Amino acid sequence: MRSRNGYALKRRSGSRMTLRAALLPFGIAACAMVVVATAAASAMYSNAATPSAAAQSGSLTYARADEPSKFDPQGVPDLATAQVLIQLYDQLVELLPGSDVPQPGLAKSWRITDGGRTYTFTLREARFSNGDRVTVDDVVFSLNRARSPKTDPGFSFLFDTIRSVSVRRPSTVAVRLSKPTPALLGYLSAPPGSIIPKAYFSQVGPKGFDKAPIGSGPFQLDEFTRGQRLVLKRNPYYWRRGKPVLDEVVQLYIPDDNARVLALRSGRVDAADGIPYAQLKSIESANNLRLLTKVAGIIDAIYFNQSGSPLRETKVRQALNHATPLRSINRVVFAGKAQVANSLIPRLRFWDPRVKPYDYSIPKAKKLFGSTPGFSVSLMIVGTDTASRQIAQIVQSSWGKLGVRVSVRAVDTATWFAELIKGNYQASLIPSGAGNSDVAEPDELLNLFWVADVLHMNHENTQVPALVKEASVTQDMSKRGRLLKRIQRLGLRDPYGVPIAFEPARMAMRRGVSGFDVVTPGWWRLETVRAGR
Amino acid sequence: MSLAKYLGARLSYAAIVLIVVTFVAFIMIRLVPGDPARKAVGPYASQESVDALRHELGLDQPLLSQAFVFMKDAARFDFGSSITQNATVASLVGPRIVPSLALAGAGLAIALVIATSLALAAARRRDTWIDHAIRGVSSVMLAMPSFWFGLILALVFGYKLGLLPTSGYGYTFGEHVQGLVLPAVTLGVAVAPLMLRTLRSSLLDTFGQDYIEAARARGLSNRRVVWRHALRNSLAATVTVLGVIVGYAVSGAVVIESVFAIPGLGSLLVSSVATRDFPVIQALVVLFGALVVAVSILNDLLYAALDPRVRL
Repeated sequence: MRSRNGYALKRRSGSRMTLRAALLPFGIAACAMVVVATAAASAMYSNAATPSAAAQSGSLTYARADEPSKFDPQGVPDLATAQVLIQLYDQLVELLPGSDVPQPGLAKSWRITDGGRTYTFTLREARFSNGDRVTVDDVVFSLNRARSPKTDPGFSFLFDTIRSVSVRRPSTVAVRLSKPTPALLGYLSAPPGSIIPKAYFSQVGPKGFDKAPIGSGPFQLDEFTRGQRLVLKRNPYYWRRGKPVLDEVVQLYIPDDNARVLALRSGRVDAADGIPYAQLKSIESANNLRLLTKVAGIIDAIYFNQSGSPLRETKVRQALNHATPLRSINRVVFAGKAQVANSLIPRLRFWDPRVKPYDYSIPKAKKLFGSTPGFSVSLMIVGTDTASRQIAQIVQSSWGKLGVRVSVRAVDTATWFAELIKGNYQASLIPSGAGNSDVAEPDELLNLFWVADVLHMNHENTQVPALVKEASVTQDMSKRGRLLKRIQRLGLRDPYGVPIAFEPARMAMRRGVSGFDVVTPGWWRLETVRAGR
Repeated sequence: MSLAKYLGARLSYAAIVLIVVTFVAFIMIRLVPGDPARKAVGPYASQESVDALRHELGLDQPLLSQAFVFMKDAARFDFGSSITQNATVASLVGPRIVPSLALAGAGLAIALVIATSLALAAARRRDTWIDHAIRGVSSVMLAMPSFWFGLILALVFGYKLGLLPTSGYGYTFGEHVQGLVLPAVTLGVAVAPLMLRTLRSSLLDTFGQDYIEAARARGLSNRRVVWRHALRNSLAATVTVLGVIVGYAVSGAVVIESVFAIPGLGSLLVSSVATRDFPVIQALVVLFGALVVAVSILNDLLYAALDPRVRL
């Protein structure tokens, strides 16, 4: 290479020079292209043209923190998946907002005979979204799938008292039980009890069904782009007249709390779920938004693994309950929107509001603690959950007043879950939103915690488990109610942990949107929602 | 050494590195608490159900034989199916490569523009208040958490000014570009300080060299001196940290993808680790490992191209 005035830079090989010479201008040109392209695109597509919030009036865009993992209703639905399943499928009986008593769903009526051991359901006229009639064969097929551990490993235990499901007449199904199970209707109203089309499922198989699910619920699945969005379209054959009100629901997946709220504020979405507690007040005061908070069947609590520790003593556990400032936690962590917990399980059917929660009193706590020497306890929390971190700090300082030294063990969600299931913990806080019941009947959680002790709490109480077993087979509703209220009271007196708060479901929406309501297990029914434009 | 021989040696070395990295990640994710079979069937399923699923997934085999089966399949680019989702790993990872590359590419380009302009300004006005201001700004950019800055950008440009979407990737090319602007700027600002410091100091070194003085003495304009001589030589030094920069960009992108809901590899890695979806995690480790190795080779090639004194 020679410059114009003869100055020469020595090069050892010509090829390198060419590579270098070509590289830099290309790099600069690429940058320029990127800058120009983004500027042009921004100018061309203004915010108003973004489809979603400004689409036809029969459509609603709704932002959620999670997305479904699968569409097989008998395939272990978590709450995020249940939220979508409940729009796609019907069950024999359904939970509607405002009541924990199961209402007629695909079964228009039923008879309970033989001391509660036989249920005879009469089906109504209904069609799946592909036009096929819902028949008794579909019901038998679906319920048998639900109660088999092979096809429904996660929730078949709910149906383990079912001995047989059979067709009685062209539109009647009989379910026979090995013992009375008053919670059965509640169990059948949960997503695992969803009715799916036998013929279609047998034709496409489980994987094919998951890719293109068919149900008889208010909506059908139109599109699912994992990691981005899910589109539900109205089911033209839905049996409830006039429902759903919306033609289409677009569910956007926005996992970051702040980004989700921003999307709502900026008008990109019409509604957003899982509003962080820190933002509740500012949304309430925003005049174009509405906030809906409703206490659902979700509890926030600390569980103890009592084996071989001072936590075995009832008095110690009572003392720790008295040493936990529940009202302060509600105010600081849950913006005052939660309810102080007066029960070890969430607010479900037969919850007694008159049972008094533990009052915060260090003198009472010290008296109960008595001469027990101070001890260390490790509190396992999900480190990424803000509410958990805040509660852990508060508890650490409060219990310290009794001489109980709390060391916080912050882990990720999967580790927390694995350790909890194995019993590898001393005390563990449930992350916000995780302590939900899958059904509105208390039997599920009472049996899992008091009788089966799935979380290895190793409590030594024998009275409450016996009462739970009795309540689970008591068909007489008023006697059952009395037993369950007694269980609540006695359980709180010999608690297997520290119940903290009943958490609310939190949804915010553009003013004009109406019809959102939540049922106890924590999902929102969308067939009554109006976009209000 | 000829280019072909050099590449041949580097690639075989790279293959060994990839195998070791994959093996280590494979073992590590299985040693951490968390059983994907238990996660898949839920907390209330019986131990029999969990064991049946573990058997079906081959998780009850000895670790080394599981590793061997995985390596064998991976060599044929068969990464199996996801445990938590009804899809092959390839179908989950595939669509996410382009958004991630686009984000990383745009982010690095923006970082280069920011770093080059600021470094030049600082180096040419050494020790003036401009130089100090730029170095201060660089420290602030380095210390600032990317998720916070990203949210601020979304708040200002998305919500207050309504110019860009607050999050999301969109469905058309135009929407993709729109959706990537703010995350790319966030990433660029996060990565720029790394480039800026090395570029500034290497520019200062270069400016002091004899050949620059000689060029000036011969009457070459300042612009020509800076662009054709100083910058080219200084970039060589920056390129040596390219590997570090790309690594930083990739890990920063994980957070930024979550904040802006960009369906990229980073957010897939986060969600698959949360659910202990072993096949997806393993495939992503192989992919990221290959990326780092490729960048490392590119790094050396670029450096050799930029500096003729370097022999491959």
